[in-house]
Amino acid sequence: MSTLRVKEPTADNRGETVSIDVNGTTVKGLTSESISVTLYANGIKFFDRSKKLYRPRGFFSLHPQARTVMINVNGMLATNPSEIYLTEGLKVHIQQKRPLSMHFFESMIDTSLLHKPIVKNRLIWPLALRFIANSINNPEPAEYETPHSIPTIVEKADLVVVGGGVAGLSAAIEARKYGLETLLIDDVELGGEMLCDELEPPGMSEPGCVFARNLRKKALELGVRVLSKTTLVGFFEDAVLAFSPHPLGSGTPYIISAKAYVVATGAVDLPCIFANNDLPGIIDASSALRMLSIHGVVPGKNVAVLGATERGLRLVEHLKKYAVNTIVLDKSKNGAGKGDIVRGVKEIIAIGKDKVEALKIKRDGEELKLNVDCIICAASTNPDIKISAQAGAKITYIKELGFVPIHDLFMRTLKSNLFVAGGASGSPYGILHVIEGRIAGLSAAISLNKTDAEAERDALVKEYRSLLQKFGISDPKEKMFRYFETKVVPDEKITEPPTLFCSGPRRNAFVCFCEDIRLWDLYRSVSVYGFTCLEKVKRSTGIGTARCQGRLCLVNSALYIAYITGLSPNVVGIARQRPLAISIPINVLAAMGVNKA
Amino acid sequence: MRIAIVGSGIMGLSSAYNLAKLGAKNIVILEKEYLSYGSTVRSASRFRVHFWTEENSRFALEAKKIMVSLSSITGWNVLVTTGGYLWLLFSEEQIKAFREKNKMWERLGIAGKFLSPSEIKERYPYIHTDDVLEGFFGPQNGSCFHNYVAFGYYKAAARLGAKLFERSPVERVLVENNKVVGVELPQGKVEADVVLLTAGAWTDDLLKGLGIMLPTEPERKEMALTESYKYFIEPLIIDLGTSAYIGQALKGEILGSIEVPVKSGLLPLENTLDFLVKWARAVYKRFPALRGARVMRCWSGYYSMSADSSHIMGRDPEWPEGLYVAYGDSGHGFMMGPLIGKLLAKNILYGEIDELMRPFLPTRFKEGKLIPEKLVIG
Ligand SMILES: Cc1cc2nc3c(=O)[nH]c(=O)nc-3n(C[C@H](O)[C@H](O)[C@H](O)COP(=O)(O)OP(=O)(O)OC[C@H]3O[C@@H](n4cnc5c(N)ncnc54)[C@H](O)[C@@H]3O)c2cc1C
Repeated sequence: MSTLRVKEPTADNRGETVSIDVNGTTVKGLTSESISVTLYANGIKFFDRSKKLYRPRGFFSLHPQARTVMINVNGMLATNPSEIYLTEGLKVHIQQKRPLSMHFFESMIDTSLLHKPIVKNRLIWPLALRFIANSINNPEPAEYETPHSIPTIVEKADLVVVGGGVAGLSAAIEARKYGLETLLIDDVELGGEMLCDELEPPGMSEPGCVFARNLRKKALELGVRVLSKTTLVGFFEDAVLAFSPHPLGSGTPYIISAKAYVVATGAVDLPCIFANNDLPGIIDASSALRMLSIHGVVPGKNVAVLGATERGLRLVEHLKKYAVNTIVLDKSKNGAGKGDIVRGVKEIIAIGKDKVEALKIKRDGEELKLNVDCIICAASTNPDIKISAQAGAKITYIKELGFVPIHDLFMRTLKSNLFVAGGASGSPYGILHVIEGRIAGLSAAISLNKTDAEAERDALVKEYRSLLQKFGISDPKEKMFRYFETKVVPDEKITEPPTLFCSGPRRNAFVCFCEDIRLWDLYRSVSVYGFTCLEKVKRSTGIGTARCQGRLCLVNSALYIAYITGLSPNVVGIARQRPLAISIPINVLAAMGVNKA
Repeated sequence: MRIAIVGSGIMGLSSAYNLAKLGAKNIVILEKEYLSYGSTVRSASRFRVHFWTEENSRFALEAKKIMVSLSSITGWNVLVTTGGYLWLLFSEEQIKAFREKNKMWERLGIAGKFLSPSEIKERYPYIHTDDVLEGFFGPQNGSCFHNYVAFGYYKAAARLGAKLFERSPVERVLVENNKVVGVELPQGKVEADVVLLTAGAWTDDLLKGLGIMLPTEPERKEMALTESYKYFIEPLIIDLGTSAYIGQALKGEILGSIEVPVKSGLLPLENTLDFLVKWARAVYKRFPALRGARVMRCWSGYYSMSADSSHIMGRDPEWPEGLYVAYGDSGHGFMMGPLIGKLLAKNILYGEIDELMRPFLPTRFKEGKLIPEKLVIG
């Protein structure tokens, strides 16, 4: 098997070499890697079959909350391979067969036909239904020896910062400087995306990874407490809950209580939508960057990057350093950017049996075919709003920012003692994330009566403004700041969504990977049933209701509906964000001491 | 006749459909948020025929007949399943009471079956039965998909000319000379000769605005849902020891709830960890096979509880002319909805009061003719 490893992982991120068993063969990996990374590095991209259509699936994103694929680990079904790190002797089983009957029944479990009375005979219907229910590719609930007791840890702090990227780290550092007890929670490890950046981020004079590593060190030196590989899962009325899925098979729950929160959960890469966009080997930009910089694994040998965005082009620069052949595909006819960029792309079709092998590109009067082994989606991102929305921030759509928690210059949301920063607030990557993070940390300190932080905050706001001037860009947040003051919902129209590389409502262009919901299903919900608000489309198609809780699909769906109806995304709306951000086994919840906090 | 229906849950939509079908023109449905924002799409979407009172059982039996044939009425397959309801009983008292009730149910042709712990184990090996004394199984009961019930009714009503206005919160009902003349919205006034309040848990406030006091109040109920697993739990299982219940949706999610002490009122539609943990504990104990199942999401909705836990429909002759209600359904309104709409339509258009409907009139409270329904789930 070909290996995609091109360099040693970074020193502070190199675990021991261990062997695991994958469908009976031995595969080597490092304890610093999640199962997803190890498999991918060894050329195994096909992890499982999808739920309804039994399509081959790999991971789209390494983010623990993007649970697009589940596998069987040590006999426990339904385990998220991006969440579990390697230990010696781990047994991984990958399901790769598709039952023959599925060819026949595919249309019966087709989401957008399900409500049609196909089987009119009421006596046959329950039988048919049972058959359909049984043909859905669901696992048995994982049955395992449950540990006798799983302790719940109670964590108290003045300030909790959610997300340990540079924005979160900066917020924590400032708050700590003013004496706040600060707890930082991150679901991977401290440093976030900038830790994966080997180049200089916009506005900075050292490589992102060096800066992030130093910031991390500084935060720890100042006494910021840290929970890593832990996800903040929910703001409940009576408690805030975090969960670490380790150790495998049980996990550790935390009850968090704090006086203020900074949400710096970063941005989500939106999947691009095109024919067969669910094939293994199609991944998001942040996973590609993470695999490369942290784990030393290239995403492929011949890679197509979708979107000549700042993000896409940075990624290409990284890939080139490791002799990866890259080509960038972009929808716009003209634009900046050097190198191999195919512009004016109208439609993309991925080709391959159980992983991407080639790519067909259609543009004005021309069709190209490329052989690629990986496609990376870098056309658009959206702030990760799961936590900020649950915490009570108001979400609105602003064209320049996406669906974003409304906030002001001081990073205050409309909910008291809740602040946002960095990618989670929609700001552009680079030094601005750092400044925003610092402002948010100072605002949190001020809200807890450290009024002496005001002067420093004012200076930072000035710096923020002058930096924008220096970059020669107008403030992308201007419209939102106005909204914060006036509370008048902006009427935003969108043209074609940046992630759409598809000319019609195709039946093989996937919007939701968890439940196999396609562009076609959304289109029918809108055109046949006349539903134009996302809540209704969600209830008629099931979009956003599965494992990843809409992380990957809701924004794309909202923008697509807005696009085909011509409505403002603010009219279409984004569905309500409910707890939990990642699912927790019943045994862990059952063992929790309640309301101790 | 101009008819304004306030609220687009199952009550409003099935009434709109039935009114339109009987030929009523000029029907508007006013909804404060979006189609079926309320309890209807937040429910567990189960139906049953076994109720503590004969009135409710008879009503539910007729309602079920409509529910299971809804696909041919509205054109939307409502995915009916008939996995039954299984009540797990833990005391001699409970057993005695169920046996007593089963005589009534037998009379109505809906007798259930008592199962010994070993019979339960045999049929449903995933239930921990050591402390269960007996089970009562109602095979007539089942589930259907709430979203498609609501959307189907809406589409059918719209085809017949009923109009839905979303984001149209009714602030009050307008009355002149003891006769309703319309409703007031922030956007303006809607004139109507008949106003039907089907605003679920929000109905209390609208009635209070008219000085009408009925013994009802909203109670928030929470629900939890796991990730999808192989479909293996067919019935809805109610653990009368802990009051927890669980059921499985066709797509594979296992959902359920448990009673937690509530403060009544329109509490924010949020969730508590207290609820989640209590439910998880009950499931952990009763269903060992589900210990590793992962809880994915929770949500909440309101039960519109009435003093006797039975729904309220129709009007009180002392009310302003043209005012009707259908609410107070105490956690089982989804299953009653299809019949409520049908009977109410006849009541509104022809003044007819069906024998099934008569006991549920709002006048029952002042007349002292309550329908004390004890079999409330959740
Ligand atoms: C967790 C849960 C589980 C349940 N499980 C079941 C079950 O398994 N089986 C069953 O039969 N029942 C169940 N129920 C009960 C069932 O959901 C309700 O009884 C039923 O849906 C009530 O329907 P409705 O139309 O009266 O009210 P709703 O569905 O609540 O509709 C009322 C509508 O009125 C709108 N509205 C309110 N005020 C105004 C206003 N001023 N102006 C305009 N519009 C307004 C609301 O937005 C809402 O859309 C459950 C309920 C809950 C909460």
